[in-house]
Amino acid sequence: MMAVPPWLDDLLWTYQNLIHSLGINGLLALSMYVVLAVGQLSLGQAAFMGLGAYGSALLTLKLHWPFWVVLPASCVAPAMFALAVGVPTLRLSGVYLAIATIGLGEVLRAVYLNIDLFGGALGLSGIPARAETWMIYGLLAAAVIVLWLIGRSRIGRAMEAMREDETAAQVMGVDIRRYRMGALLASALLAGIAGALGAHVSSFIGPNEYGFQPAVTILSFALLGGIGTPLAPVLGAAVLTLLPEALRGFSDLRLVFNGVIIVLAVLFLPNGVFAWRMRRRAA
Amino acid sequence: MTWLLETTGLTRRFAGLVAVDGVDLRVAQGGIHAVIGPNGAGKTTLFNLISGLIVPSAGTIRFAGTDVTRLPPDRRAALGMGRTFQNIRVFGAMTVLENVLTGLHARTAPDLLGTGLLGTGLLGTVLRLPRFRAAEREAVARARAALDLVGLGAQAETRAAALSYGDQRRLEIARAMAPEPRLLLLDEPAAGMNPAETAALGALVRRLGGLGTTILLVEHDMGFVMGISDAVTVLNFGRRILDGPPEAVRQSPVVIEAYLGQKVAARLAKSAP
Amino acid sequence: MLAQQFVNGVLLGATYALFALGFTLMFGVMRVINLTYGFYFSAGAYLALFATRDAGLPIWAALPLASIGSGLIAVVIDALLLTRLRRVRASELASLMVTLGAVLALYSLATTFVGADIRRFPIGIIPEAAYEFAGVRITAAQILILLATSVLVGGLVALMRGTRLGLAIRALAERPDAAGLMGIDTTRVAAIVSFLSGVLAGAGGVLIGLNFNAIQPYMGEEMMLRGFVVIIVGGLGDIRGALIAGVLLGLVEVATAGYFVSSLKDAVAFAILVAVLWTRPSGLFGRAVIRRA
Repeated sequence: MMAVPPWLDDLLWTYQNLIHSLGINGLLALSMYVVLAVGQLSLGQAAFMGLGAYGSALLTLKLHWPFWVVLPASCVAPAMFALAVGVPTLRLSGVYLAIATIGLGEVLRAVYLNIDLFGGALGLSGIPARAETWMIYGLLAAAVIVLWLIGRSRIGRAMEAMREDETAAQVMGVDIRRYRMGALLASALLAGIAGALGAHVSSFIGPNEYGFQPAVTILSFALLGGIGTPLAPVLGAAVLTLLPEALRGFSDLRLVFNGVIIVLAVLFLPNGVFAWRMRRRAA
Repeated sequence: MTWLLETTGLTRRFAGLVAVDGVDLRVAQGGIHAVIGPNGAGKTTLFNLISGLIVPSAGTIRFAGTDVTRLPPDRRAALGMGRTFQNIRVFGAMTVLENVLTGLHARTAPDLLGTGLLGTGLLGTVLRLPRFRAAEREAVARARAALDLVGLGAQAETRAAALSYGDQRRLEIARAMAPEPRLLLLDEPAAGMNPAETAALGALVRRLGGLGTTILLVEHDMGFVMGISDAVTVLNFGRRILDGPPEAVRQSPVVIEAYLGQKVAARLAKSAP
Repeated sequence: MLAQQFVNGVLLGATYALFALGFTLMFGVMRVINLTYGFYFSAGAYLALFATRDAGLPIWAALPLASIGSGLIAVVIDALLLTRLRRVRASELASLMVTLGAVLALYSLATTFVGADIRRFPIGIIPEAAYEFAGVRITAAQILILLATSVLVGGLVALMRGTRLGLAIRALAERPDAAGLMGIDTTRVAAIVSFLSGVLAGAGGVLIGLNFNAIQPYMGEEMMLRGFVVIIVGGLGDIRGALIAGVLLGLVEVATAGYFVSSLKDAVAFAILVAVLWTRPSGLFGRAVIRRA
C-alpha cells in the first residue's frame, strides 16, 4: 500500500471545508458587489452574515425548525438591521453608511460576546450540518444569474449610471434612494443566507467570525475581482480563499495580504483583476 | 394663459450670497426660451433649482400644472423634464447607446408584475417576460432614433468617453431628448465650441424646437441666443432684469449695461446719434 | 455614589473626547474618514509600554514620547496612502477603502510582532493609591487623564484659535479650493494635521491603557466605535461638538454600567449613533454641514 503523504492527507481532510468556503465566500462577495454596484460602501456584510448565522442557528437549536424554513427566516434580522441603518444614512453622503455599518459590526460582536443566548465567547456549537454542498452552489449560481440578468437591463443601467455620476442619473429619472436601499437590502439578504449556510456546515459559530477582519476580507474579495460583472467578485473570492491554502506557511500574513490587496486595488486597479464589462441591454 | 414652467419669487442663498433672487420666470409651451446674463448672474443656479438638484430657499416652481418645488429630480424627469449640463456629464464607461437608454429610464415603463417589487420591474426583468423584452426593444429603437437625430447613429457602440468634446455634447442632448421631454433644459450648450460647431448646434436646437419639445436654454453667447430664441429673459446678480423677444432685448440699454458695465454703456449712449 | 459615577464618567468621556477630537479634525481638514486612526491609538499604548517596560522610563516621559511617536506614524501612513488619492481628487469612499485595507494590514502585522495577548504596564508605573475629595475617589491614573486631556485639548484650541497655522488649518477645512489659492501649502498642513491627530490618538491609547491596565493590538479598533459615535453625535468635523459628545458618551457608558447592564454599553452607544442619524444627521449641535447625497 502506498502511504499518503501528509500534505495530501491534510488537503483531503480540508477539502470539504474548502469547497464550502468557496461557495459561501462567493455569496458574500456578491453581497458586497450589489452595494458597490450602486456606488455605495457598506461594511456591514460580516454583521449581516453574523445575524443570519446566529439567527438560523438559534432557530435550529432552540425551536427545531426545519432547514427549508430556517434558511429564508435567517434573512429577517439582516433585513431589519439593514433598514434601521440604511434609511437614515442613505439620504446622506456615502461615508455615513460606511461608518454606521462598521459600527454595527463592532456592536453586534460585543452583543454576541456578552449575551448568554448567543453563547458568549464560546459561541454556539452543535449546529447540525444541514446545508448541503448543492444548496450552497445552487444559491450561488442563482444569485449570479439573477444579478447578471438585472445587470443587463434598465435596472443595471441605472445602477451603473449611479456609480458613475449620481447627479446625472437622477436627472435621467433614476430614484437613487430607492436603488440604494434595494441594493443594501439585497446585500443583507445574500449575507444573511451565506451566514445561515455557513453555520449549518461548520457546526460551530463564534463572535469573532463576524467582526472587523471578515468585514474587510469580504471587501477585498470584491475589490480584487472587480465589479464589472457579478462573476468578477465571485472569482475574486475564489482567489482569496484558495491562496491562503496554497501558501500555508504564511497563514499569519493572510489578513495583511487581504488588507494590502484593498490598498493596491483602489490605488492602482480600480476595475479589479477580472475587469470585463457587461453589455447593459437585453435587446 | 397657462405656462409650461412658472417660477414665483424663486430664491436661493449660499452662505450669505444670494445666487438667485426672487426670480419670476414664465416659459410658454412650445418654442425656444433663452436665459442670458453675464457670468455669475445665477443662470446655472436657476437651472439647478428648476431641475431639482438644489432646493430653493424661497419661492415655488410649477411645471406642467404641478407644484414641483419639493420634488426630487427623478420625479421631475418622470413629469417630462430633461436637461444637459454645462460641464459634460456623460457616463464615460457606457457605450453611446447605453447612455441614451439610461436617459429613457423614466420612460421605460416597469413591467406590470414588477411594479410591486420596489417599482423597478424586478420580477419581469429577471424572468425576461415578454413585456420586459418589448419595453427593451422599444427603448433601443427610441434611443437609436435620438442618436440619428443628433447625428451620432454610427457611433452607437462606441464608449462614450472616447467621443470628441462636441460629440459628447450631442450625446448629452440625445440622452435628454430620447424620452421626448415636454421641457428640455440646455445648460450653456455652446460652451467650448468653435464657431462652426456652434452654428451646427444652433441648427440642431432649432430642429429640436420643431419637434414639439419646449426648450429653455441658458447661454453666455449672445449671438447664439439671438439667432434661435423666441423669448429671452435676462438675469443679472441673480435678479430678472428684462423679459421679451430677442430684438427688444438686444437693444435694451439695461442689458448692454449688464454685459459691458456702466461706463461702456454710457459711452455707447453718448456716441449714439 | 452619584458624584463618584459622575466623576468617573466625565474622566472616561474626556479620553473619548480626546480620541474623537483627532478623528474629527482629520475628517474636517482632509475630508477623509481615515480608518487607520484607530491604529494610532493602539500604537500609542504599545509605544508607552515599550518605553516603560523595556526602556524603564517613567510614565510622565513615556506619555509624550509615545504620543509624538504615534503622530509620526500617522504622518508617514497618511503620506503613503492618501497623497496619490488627494492628487487625483478621488472620492471619499475610495479614500475610506484604502485606509480600511491599510488598517487591517497594520493590525495584523502588529499582531504578528507583539502577539494578541493582553499586556499590562509594569507594576508601580503609576501610584496605585486613590485620593478622596469630598467622598469621591480619584485614582492617580484618573488625575493623569485629567491633566493630559486638559493640556492637549487646551493646546489644540489655542493652536487653532491663536496662530497662523491654526488659521491655515481652519481655512483648509472650510474652503479647500480657496485655501490652495491663498498660498496655503496644503500638503504641509495635511502632514501637520495628521501629526496632531496621531498625537491625540496616541495619547488616548496610553491613557485608556493605563485606566484599564490592558493593552492589545485591536484595542484601537474597538475604540473606533466610540470614535464614530462621538463624531456623528458631535457632527462630522465639529471640534467643539466632539468634545461635548465625548464627555456625554463617557457619562452614558458609566450610567449604563451602573444602573443597567454593563455588557450592553456598546449597544447603547450604537443606538445613540443610529438615533442621531435618524433625527439630527448634522449632529446634536447641528453645526456640521450635512453632507447630503
